[in-house]
Amino acid sequence: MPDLICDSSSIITLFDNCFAWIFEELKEDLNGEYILLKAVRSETVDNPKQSKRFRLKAMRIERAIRNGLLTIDSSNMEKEAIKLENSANKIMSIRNKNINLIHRGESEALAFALKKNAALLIDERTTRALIEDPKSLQDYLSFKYKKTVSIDKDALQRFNSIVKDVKVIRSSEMVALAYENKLFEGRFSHPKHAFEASLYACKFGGCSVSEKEIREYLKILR
Amino acid sequence: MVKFTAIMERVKSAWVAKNPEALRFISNTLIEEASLHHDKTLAKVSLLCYSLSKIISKIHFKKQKTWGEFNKDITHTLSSAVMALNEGNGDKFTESLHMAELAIHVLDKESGNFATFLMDKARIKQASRLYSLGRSLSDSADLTGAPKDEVMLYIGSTRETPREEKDFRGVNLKQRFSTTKTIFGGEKNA
Repeated sequence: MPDLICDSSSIITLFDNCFAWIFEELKEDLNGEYILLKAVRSETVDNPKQSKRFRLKAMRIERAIRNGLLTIDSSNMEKEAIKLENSANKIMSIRNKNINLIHRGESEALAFALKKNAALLIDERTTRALIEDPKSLQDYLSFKYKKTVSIDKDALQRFNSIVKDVKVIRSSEMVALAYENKLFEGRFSHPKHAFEASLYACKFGGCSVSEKEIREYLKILR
Repeated sequence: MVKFTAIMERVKSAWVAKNPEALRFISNTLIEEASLHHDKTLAKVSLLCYSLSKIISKIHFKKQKTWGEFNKDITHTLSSAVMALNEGNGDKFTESLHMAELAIHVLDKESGNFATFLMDKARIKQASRLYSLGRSLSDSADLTGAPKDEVMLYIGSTRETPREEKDFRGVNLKQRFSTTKTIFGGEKNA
């Protein structure tokens, strides 16, 4: 599994918090590339560059691309993404109306991970839940919409058979691995505190890591 | 079209009555409907209602010199939208929504209190609501037109409900971390 396909959600979280160094330091262990699809570049560089608020982060990401830390792949994944969407978006329905569970941004990243037999770095939770635990997603949607959410078991099985081997990680996992590999030492005077702060920075940056998971990380990584 | 007419009638009534709670309620109901039907027009009306409810709630807007004109403009635009729907004129309806958005933008710009405009705040707020309803980040951003960066920051600043924590765990943490170690360094780290 040489490459790591990066969704825009994780790039946003990690570069918002100036964690480019984690990408750099972990790269030699990756044995592959951090790959961004062209659309992710638009979402994380080209569009935010138009905004005064996000321009600096966009420039940091652009520099990482220019330096070769992040690689842009121009593959057109539209066909494969549509296939995945057609499959995923038939799984759940409310009053016979299918619910769109994944959208082009996520479906392209997922399709590309499948094509490259690579892992997926994604902080967004719905796609992750759909891949890993669709039943809990069904429960959640029923709860939120206060309506019965039906599952098409055949569609779910089809989708599962396509995505079952995809490995999903979040920016919090990269931070945790950086901590375990002692990359916080020398960089921060109190590595454990910095680790905790970094996990919360990911969470407050939009990464779908829960408080409970943060506590668990702090417990298992001494 | 019939459904839209009823919705716009309700929006107009809530605006004329200067009822922010009613507008907020319509806005939240519409964003749920927009999410179920992936309907950008419903989402747009939701954003409009959200912005109008905010305008009514804030005194500084009403103190502006242009308030009277704005009030008249919005009432007129909402009436035009209803009329357009009754005539089955989709283009005119879209134009009315656009005019309302423009009027809000002008009022907001004149007030100059914040760096972020009201309609942009509405986009971010309702995108975050869509995300909390279980829609994907791209979908939430696409339906509302909010930038993903902004949505991510807003999502991060909102408190995760116990229900979200329970339902979005997926693979357990130890397993995910072990996978991460396999990705970075294979057997060496695993």
